Amino acid sequence: MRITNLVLTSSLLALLGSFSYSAHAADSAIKVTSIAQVEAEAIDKKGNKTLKRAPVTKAVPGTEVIYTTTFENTINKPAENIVINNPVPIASEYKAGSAFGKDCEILFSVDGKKFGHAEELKIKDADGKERTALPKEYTHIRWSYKVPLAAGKSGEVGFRAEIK
Amino acid sequence: MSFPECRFLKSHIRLLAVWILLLLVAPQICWAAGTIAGTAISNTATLSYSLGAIPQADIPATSLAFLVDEKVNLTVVGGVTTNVVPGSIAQATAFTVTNNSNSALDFALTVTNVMGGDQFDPNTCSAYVESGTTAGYQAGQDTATFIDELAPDATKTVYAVCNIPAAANTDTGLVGLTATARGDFTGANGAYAATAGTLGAVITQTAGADTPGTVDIVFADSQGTEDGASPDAKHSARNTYQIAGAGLTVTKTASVLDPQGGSVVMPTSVITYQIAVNLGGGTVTNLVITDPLPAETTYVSTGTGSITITCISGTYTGGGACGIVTITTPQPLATKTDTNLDADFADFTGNTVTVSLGDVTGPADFVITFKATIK
Repeated sequence: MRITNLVLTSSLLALLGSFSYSAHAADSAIKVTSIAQVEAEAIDKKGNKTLKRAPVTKAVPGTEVIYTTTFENTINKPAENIVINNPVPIASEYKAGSAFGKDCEILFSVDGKKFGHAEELKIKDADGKERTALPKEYTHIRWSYKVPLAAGKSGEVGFRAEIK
Repeated sequence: MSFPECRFLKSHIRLLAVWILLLLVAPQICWAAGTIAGTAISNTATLSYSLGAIPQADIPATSLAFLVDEKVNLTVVGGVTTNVVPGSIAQATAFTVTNNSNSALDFALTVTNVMGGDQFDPNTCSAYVESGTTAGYQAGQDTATFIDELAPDATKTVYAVCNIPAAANTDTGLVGLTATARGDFTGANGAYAATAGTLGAVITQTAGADTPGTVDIVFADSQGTEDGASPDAKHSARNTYQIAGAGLTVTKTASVLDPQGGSVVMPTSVITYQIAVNLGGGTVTNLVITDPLPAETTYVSTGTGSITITCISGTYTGGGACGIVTITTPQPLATKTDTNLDADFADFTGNTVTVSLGDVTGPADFVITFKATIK
């Protein structure tokens, strides 16, 4: 009978209406995010000078940008052999000594293939002479974690680079 | 085209093919003035890891991209001294204007001519951009009145062209040139858009919160001689016009001696004329002093004649010697035989005294005296 069918359909619809379908690719075990910030002097509530970080807005040549990558182990197993590879962004120069990351070995590269400590990186001058590369000539940074990242734990690495 | 900041890139690229590809693909982002405004910068970190000794898929993370903003900066350089002759027209003095911004820009030009610290004001001034066809100011070629589409780090020569008023030798007149950056920021995300042939709009600094996704405008210029202290997209400098060359002054005085020893102007009174010629600097060619005597007077020519010429300082054609010379008899100019300051430098014809000094190089002083009696 029509009336009955109508009632049944709408009840079914009402049940279906609250169901939401969302499609995810299988979630990565580690959640990784990367942000770019600048640092500015500010006065805190007590009147003391402090440094405050904010998203990059006024990005003229010469601006120093702080790049921070955070990662979180979202599963219940430890993550091992964590390595983060990071090319220095275009139109930017790596700031000497700015790379940071707890429990990491930090290495650099000037060609994206060979990674080493500062004194191991060589560059050929215009006249063909080999010399140690300057930090502003680095093209890649690599953080290698010496310890596993336990379930639920987070880590943070980063560096500074100046806009050319 | 060379990229001074990008030298290190070249040393790594061994494969010609890769280098060519990079040139084609990479945006021309390296300039001494800085990365071209509008360039998008983001950071990508890639994390690799293992679970139970089994390598897992890499996880990349990219930061939110931001655009490089526009830094407006320019430099005007002057400091040039240009020698000019008083009363001369359209005298050019050169400045340079350099674009230190990280995009091409237009530049409006203004000339200031009235300021303190000088003895005269150049007038009727205009600014013209060197066209590059012929070196130096050419009125027919250098006609642009603003700088059109000047690339980052490029320089143009600009002339201030002024008239010089009457002034004394060594006097100076200051002239200032101000360049103001101009441009339409109507390109993608607020980037500079070229307006070839037309002067771009007035530029205003981005007020309020700057944004990562649009090209914000920041003024970064320093203060020049004519513009304000706060960055204002202007710069300026001064040049000096200096009077030199024909700073020639000729002064005539007369004194009267009457028969009684007084100075009454009456028949038979003797007038002594004194003409002082001063050349402050530079060289004047074929300097001739001509003095027609008044009709009521008679040149005194008796005895040794009355013209004396004294050279106090200076040199003249052939390096002739200075000294006091008395003309014994009036000589026509045609019989001048040498370049020395002697008898044949002066002539008295048709009641007119003519003294020819030849080419004179200053600083030089001459005094010519002669007598005439009142009829």
